Amino acid sequence: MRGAKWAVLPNGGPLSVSSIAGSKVFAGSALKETWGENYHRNLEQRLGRCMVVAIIGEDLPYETNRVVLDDKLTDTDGIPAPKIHYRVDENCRRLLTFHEGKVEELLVACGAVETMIVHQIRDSGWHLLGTACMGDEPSRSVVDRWCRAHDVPNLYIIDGSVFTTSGGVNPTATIMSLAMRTSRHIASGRRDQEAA
Amino acid sequence: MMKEAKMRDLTPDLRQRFAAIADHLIPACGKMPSASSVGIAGAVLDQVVQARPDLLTPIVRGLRACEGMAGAAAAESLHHDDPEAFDALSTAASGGYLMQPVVRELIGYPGQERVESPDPYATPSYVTDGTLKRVFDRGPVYVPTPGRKREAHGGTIAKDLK
Repeated sequence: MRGAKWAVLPNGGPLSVSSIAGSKVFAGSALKETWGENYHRNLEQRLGRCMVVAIIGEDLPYETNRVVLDDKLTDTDGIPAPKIHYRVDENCRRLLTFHEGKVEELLVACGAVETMIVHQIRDSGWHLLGTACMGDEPSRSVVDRWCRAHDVPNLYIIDGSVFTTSGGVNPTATIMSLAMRTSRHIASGRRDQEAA
Repeated sequence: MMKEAKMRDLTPDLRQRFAAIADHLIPACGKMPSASSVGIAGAVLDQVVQARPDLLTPIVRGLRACEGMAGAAAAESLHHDDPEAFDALSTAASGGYLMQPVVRELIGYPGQERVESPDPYATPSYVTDGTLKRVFDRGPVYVPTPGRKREAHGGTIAKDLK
């Protein structure tokens, strides 16, 4: 387990009293829990009075999570399509479960009359990070600490793919900082830049 | 698998079934009107399907499967046997219901409204109005980074807080 960020969000309009982001979070096993007279009760109780706490957990790097060339699927020119292998691992599950408990504690302390937990929301944004991991060791990373490819001296990779973990927060500010740091490094060392 | 449905597939008979199911899902209750009393199966349903054409095929499939059933039995049957059709029907019923001005007025929801964007350069009110004063006074609180000495941290260690 490592870090995570909590993002506090509004719940949206009245349709969200029965579903949030396609999650069916409020859909109980019995129809009457969401519908019938309870529909009106839920509208009165939840509309404008709900908050969502989204947990952005830190995804650790696993060599089993990777992008490879698809052995069958190609584009119209016959170039293999990328194939993504990704599984949510046990550490992610434990991290999210830990934070779910803490968030629930917070909401109850704030006076929540009902709380719902969605372990993972399918209809949600995902930060696409990693696959060209930064590191000192060429056998275990793609770029060095200056985002330069270990294998190609004048190739720099500057985006979220150099992350060593997902970081547990939104990545854009870190990507921008890395871009500025790497750009300055490239500019300051331009006379000594090797060619491939 | 059923082929893609068209608007003309929503026959008067199927619309009647839709109204019966919608009334079971959203009945009259207190000051709130029932789904059918706001015209849910007529122009409202057309408006919903125009906005969400992906709902039409599962709605038609679900309604066709409920021939001869009362609204309650049809809703329960679809909820159990065809969740995709149930989701489409319930989304259309509640979405259409909530689009009606009379319903919005009753629940106090004006719909999407333009809100003035706050000045991104202004100091947020929660910084100046004292809301965070005790946090500023308290100073930073850290969970120690593994492998670093306590002295390396510039503030209070979290577990030392009383």
